[in-house]
Amino acid sequence: MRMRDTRRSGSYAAFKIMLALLAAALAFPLTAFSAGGEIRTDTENCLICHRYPGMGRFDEAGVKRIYYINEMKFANSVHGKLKCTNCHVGLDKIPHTDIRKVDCTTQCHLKEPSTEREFSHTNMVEKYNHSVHGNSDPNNPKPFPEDLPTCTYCHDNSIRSPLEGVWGTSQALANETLSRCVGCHTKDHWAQNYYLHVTHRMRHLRSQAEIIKLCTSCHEDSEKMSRHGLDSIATFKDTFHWNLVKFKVKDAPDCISCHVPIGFTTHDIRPKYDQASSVNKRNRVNTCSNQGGIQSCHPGATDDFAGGRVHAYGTKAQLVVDGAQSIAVEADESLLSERARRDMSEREIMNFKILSYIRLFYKILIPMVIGFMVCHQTLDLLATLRKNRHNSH
Amino acid sequence: MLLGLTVVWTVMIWNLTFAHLYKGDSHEVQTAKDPGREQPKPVEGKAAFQKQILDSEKTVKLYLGYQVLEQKQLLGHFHIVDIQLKPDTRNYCISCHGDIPHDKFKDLRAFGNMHASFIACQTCHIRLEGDQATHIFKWYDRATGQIVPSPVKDGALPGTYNAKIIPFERVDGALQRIDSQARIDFAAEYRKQEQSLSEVQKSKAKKIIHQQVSKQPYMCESCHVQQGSLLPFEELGYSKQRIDAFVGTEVIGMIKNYTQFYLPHILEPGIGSHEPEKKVQ
Amino acid sequence: MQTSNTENTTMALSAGPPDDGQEPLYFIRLNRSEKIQHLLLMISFVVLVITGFMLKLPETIVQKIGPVGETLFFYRSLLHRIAGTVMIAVSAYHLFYLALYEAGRRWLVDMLPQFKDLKDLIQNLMYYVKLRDRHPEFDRFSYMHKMEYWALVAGTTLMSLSGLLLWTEWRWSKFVLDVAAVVHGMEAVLACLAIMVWHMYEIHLKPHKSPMDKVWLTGCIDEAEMKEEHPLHYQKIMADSALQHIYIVRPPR
Repeated sequence: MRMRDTRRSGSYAAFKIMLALLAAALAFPLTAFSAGGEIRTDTENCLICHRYPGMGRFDEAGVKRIYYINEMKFANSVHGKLKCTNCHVGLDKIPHTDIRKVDCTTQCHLKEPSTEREFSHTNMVEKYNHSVHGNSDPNNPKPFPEDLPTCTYCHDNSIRSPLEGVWGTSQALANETLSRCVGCHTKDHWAQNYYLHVTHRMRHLRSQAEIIKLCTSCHEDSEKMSRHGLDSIATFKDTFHWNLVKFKVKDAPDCISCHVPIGFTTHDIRPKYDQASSVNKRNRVNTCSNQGGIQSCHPGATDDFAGGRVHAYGTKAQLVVDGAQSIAVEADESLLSERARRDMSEREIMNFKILSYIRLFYKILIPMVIGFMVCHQTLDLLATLRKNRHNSH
Repeated sequence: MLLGLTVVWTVMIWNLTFAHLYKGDSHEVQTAKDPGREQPKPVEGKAAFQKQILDSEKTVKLYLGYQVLEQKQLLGHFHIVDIQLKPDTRNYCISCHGDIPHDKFKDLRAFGNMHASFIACQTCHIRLEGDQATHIFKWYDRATGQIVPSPVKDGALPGTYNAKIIPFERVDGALQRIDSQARIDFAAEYRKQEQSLSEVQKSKAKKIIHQQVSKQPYMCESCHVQQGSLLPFEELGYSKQRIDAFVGTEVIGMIKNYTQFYLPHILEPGIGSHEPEKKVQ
Repeated sequence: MQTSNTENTTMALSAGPPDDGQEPLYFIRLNRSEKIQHLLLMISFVVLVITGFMLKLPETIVQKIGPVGETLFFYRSLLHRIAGTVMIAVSAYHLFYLALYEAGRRWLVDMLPQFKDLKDLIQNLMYYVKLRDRHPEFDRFSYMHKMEYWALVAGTTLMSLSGLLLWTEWRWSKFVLDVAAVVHGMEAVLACLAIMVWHMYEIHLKPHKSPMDKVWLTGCIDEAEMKEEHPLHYQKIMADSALQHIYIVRPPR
């Protein structure tokens, strides 16, 4: 949007300015999703073939591989300013026999303004490799590294969309803000890009239920989890926290709320023994009370309250109680039993036993009592009917 | 009614209390997002079919903020693929061969599938000779099957045409589209009755269906030439600019390089020892 | 509107010893205070059960509710706590009633379990299976009433305590909360099933009470039923004029 330097009279100039702003405001929703022609970054014209939806094949395993790129969606994605070859290296031949797998630590040749260096995701990947999902220690490699999630397991090329309906914002707010930016930042689309770059982070693209689905796609798979010595977290669905998510309550707690609260990053989730973990005993009260976040969940949390288990007792507790000898010790299972003995403290086992006994008590009491009641009332009914028949004769 | 409610409530509470005892762990284990890691195991049986084929297609929900996109899960996909083309319901080749049919020849298959999204199978795979050839091609709509005006002329972007190119043939002096109702019905009938046909009948039916299919399909240079192209581009609605684009050096040059430097056998797939190239990672 | 017999020392005008037997007599089973207590208890129980078990709805059903889910959840929580408070208040009042009102003290004494109740239980079961040809004679409260009453007392105590613990969750350790949650949940199941199987039968499905026993509204039963169901109490009343003043009432004119 250019602001014309007009030499006409003030009021006419003002009118023109207003017209221009109006046009800008109206044009915003359109230009946000303009066709690839305007935001064309595909200077090598890869799209000449890759813009057709049929571009793809079924591979030997019968899995569909699609090489189609939706121009509009790509242009509006977070990577929309990049050329194809910035990420897909090794594309000198057709067919692309020399292509290499995309490496997220590639340098994209975009200058990152805060350090003035070429940008790459390396620092995040480094953090990630040292986190609980990574495999960075050469002396102690993790078993079954193919289970560990790669970048694209959680991330897809998200589309930046106008900030709307989130925390009281509206299209109108976006329009007003932008119209103040374009006064100085006159290059087309720059202001929009910048605005979207920031506001994209003000929302979670996935709902809480979706985040839980993503995490539980591995963490509820008991086989996979036991290979790594972890409990399946199916027991999360037994908790009250899950009820909030189920009923789609706003700001309901999902995995991220506790494991990545304020001040932490998803790429650096640590095991609970690590002092840097948000679920370490030291940090728990902060995590539960979540001060400084959108919603302070348990502001009155004490150490006692925060010190307990959030996920209900699972396989590990059962294993310790049953005595690990009774479980068939296969190569996979042993890690879980080992960890079970390490992770469960005496007190926790005692608590688990007490809870199990209470449950057992009720499981016996209820059928006995209700069974007796059913018998009694059935007999009563039969007797009454008998009496009625007898009386009517 | 009260009795009914009581019964329903009792059953519900019973289930809540005791179901986990006899149903086992009822928490649904959602399998990992990555189907490509599993190679299909050669296990037979109905249960295997159910598990590996019927249950294997997972849909993925993408929350784009302004839109919730539900698409079939694609292996390792990072880019958001929002294919909005309607499935082709008219083409009877697709009903057996699928709409991404090219598979055998590594060099050609992706290109073939790419063109298959806006060119009907019959266009390339049926060489019309002599009297039958008309050089008339029209667009038909994917969803309805009816002949429609050119989507290119209507301004649709490449890759978003909801129509395909189909050739017309001359039969007894009259023009008719090559995917005539008679042929469609025949193929549909075959599919319906396939179970109950004998081997001879099946063979015969298949021969009839594929009667017109030429051994050698039209290859790239039949259309991507400056002069004498198979397809009448102007009539199909392409602008001068677009025609220049796909008969220009970019495409023709690529084809020539493709065939001459890398794959000399490209014009004769299947003939001679054609060693598959090393698999791309 | 029936005339009711109040429980303190003032006597209602229509009370009095039985007539020549021309007019049918009605015997009070629940006085006004008890009727109100029962009514409040019943309403709060139903609300508690519904709002409580809503938490156990499977995800597939909750998904269908859509965005209304959040408002629903908010009101569910609110109603559950309100109804819980009502139930605790009624229970507290009941304890107060048992101690300080004469009728309450009578109620408590009559409800205390005795050896006779065990005998009654066995004899009644024998009658059901045709080993006896008559059912045993009951006093004001049969063993069935007593069982239900004391189960109610125990159940309400447990539920109230565990409920209050859960309500003030930040004060307690996770273990205490876990125990409270288990007890609250399982006791709820027991109470709910007990009410449905036992109580619903007693008042709805018993052939001569069907479709509904109206005692909770009227507070009285007629003489025939009294003689059939509570003969011992009937005899005690007929033999004592003071008891007649308390328990007998004339039908409305």
